Amino acid sequence: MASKRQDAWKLGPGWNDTFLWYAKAIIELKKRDITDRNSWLYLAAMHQFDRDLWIQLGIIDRNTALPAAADTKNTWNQCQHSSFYFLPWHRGYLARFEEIIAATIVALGGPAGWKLPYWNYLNATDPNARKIPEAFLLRFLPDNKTRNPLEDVPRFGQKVLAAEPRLRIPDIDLSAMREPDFSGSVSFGGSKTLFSNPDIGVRGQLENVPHGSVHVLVGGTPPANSDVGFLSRFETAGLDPLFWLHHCNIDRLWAAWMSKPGVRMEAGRQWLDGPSDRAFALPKANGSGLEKFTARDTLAGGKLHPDYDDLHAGTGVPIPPASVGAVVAALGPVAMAEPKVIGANSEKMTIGDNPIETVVKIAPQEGANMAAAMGARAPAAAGGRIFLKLENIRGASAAGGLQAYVNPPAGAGDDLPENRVAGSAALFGLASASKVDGQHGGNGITLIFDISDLAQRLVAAGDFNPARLRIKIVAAHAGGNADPITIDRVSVLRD
Amino acid sequence: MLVAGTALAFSLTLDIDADLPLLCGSVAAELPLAAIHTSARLLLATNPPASLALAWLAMLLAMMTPLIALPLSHVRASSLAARQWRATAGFLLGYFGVWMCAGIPMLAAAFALRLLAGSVPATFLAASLLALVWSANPLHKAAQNRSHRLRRIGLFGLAADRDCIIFGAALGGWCLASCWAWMLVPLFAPTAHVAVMVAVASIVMAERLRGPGPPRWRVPVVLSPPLDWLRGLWIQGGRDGARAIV
Repeated sequence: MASKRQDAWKLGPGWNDTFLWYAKAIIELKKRDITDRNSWLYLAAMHQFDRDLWIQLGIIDRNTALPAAADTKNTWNQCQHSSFYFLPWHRGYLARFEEIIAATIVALGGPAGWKLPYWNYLNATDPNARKIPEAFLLRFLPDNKTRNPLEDVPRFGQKVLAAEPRLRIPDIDLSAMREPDFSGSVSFGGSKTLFSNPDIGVRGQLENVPHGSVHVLVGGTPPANSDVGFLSRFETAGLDPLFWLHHCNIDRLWAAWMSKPGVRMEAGRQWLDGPSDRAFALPKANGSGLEKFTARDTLAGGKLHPDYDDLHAGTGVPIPPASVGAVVAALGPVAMAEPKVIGANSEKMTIGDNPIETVVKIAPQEGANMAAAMGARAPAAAGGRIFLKLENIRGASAAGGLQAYVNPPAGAGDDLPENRVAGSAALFGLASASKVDGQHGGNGITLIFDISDLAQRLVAAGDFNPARLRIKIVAAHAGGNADPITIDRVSVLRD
Repeated sequence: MLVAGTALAFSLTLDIDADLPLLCGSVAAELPLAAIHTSARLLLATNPPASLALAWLAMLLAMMTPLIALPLSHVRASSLAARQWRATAGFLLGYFGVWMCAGIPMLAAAFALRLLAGSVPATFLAASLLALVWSANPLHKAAQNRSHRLRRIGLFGLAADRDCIIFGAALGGWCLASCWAWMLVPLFAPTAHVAVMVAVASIVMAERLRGPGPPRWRVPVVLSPPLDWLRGLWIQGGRDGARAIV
């Protein structure tokens, strides 16, 4: 077995050793009761658990005995989203999962040193990259009798990643890798929060794309697909074996981002040694107990730091010239600069089946400053980027998609021009994030799109009136008009 | 924390009978209605309403300010830079306005509890027990869940002021629904009033930091550490040293 995590598509087609042993280990983990800390269900519940939903989906039944509350209050429902803990928590989660699978393989008589592969879907040099690895689509193991646990999971979305117009989700890309700051409301890794992030969490750009997009594109959701797959919900995502390969690639993108010159990594104690309100906890690989970890443990030199065979293919990070040594990410200021709000709409938006338009007004002085700064140069060059923020998107649909336009042509109907798109997002975990008694406290999802280039184009076209920016939101979700999506506020921010 | 500490120090300078001492040595069943009425009047005479209100406000500022740090940051971040102090004022007006209005029924509840329990120590114990039961109650969790909910904040004009006040008032209402029982406890701790205030503020903060969750009966946050410690001892004994940590 390899000593480093490798590209899933480079392990060989079909049932290569890595996937065959992965499947066998999952079969073994599934035999264990949920009370066993190294069982398949226990590990998935660490991400998020909802007893009623799991019963409804047939994952457990009403008589299933659960672990003691004293145990689960430390280990279950830990998944970090819309938070600067998103990446370090998932890194620790992956590392321990990998360790448990590897130990199980050895116990089954397999080779030592199993490593979690990554699904390198953005590797433009590999024609297979966007395809779900074959072993996850085969119905049986090589014996043609045993049901394949890598495939035996509800997935209703794509088998080859691409744009999904029916969900308003565009093709995935590496735009997040351009973000220079790890933390903040506009950042690579997410906004600064506590463990429980109901009050102020904002998704990082990587969490939005490709992370959220791949979850929903593969898991699927109405109206594009017949049902909601496990990958589309926080509560069931960890039950899909593909989840781990997807997150392995997200984790690798973080590792690659840190190797880029000029990026500013979080250096605050709140991140390095936090969260202060509830420690991250992992079961030990031998099931004997629990141990806690911090973000610091996931960095180079830490006990949960991973090792990848390649940080360049599919990451957008070029191989440095031989003369340049390894880059160590700079530790940024503890409080990274936050963009300031300069404009907002005047009412909450409710979006059913049809697109809804709202008007954002920018404060007169701020609008004048912005227009002057954008006169001849791109906004970024003028010293400040411009963002469109969709605040507290809530909905009862498990997942969905959404697209925002600025100043679309009047009467364009559904045929909205691409050059007016402010941003798009897969609404991964929408219902979960909107539940009042859920981890997000019912505050839903908050998204930020960089509209600097679009604003510049609008100014150049003479179609930028700071007192009246028209924002059109098109959403695709199962709720339709009966259970619409709401957006508390649409605002414009500037660096 | 600076505001909370200042308010705590200020509350020490106020000469308020926090233990409702007029009923010492009596129990409700032994008191005729006229005596209760007289006691209430005497309470107000020895603690003028303005002083009571000031003491209540100082207590609220000391104990509640840490709880509203994150919602307040939402208000400020959602407002134009030039309006942030105005937005802050509106939010605080709404939040503490609700709590100040609640002072009257809270005092009445404290008065009733004092009557029913008899002595000051008995009332302190009764209030603590009531707070523990309330903390375990699903209704408490339901109220606390709602205290995390953010609301839109307008950017311009009176609509922005209105939104800040409404957000503050809504948050204050859910905080009141969540914390009312614990807020009674310091009223019956005349000898260690500040220490009890600090302890109660820590408890309600810990409850808020526990985050949202399904409304059901649960072990109060304040009892979790000792229970976990006992359970850890048990697990250590039963599993030959396997440690239950965190």
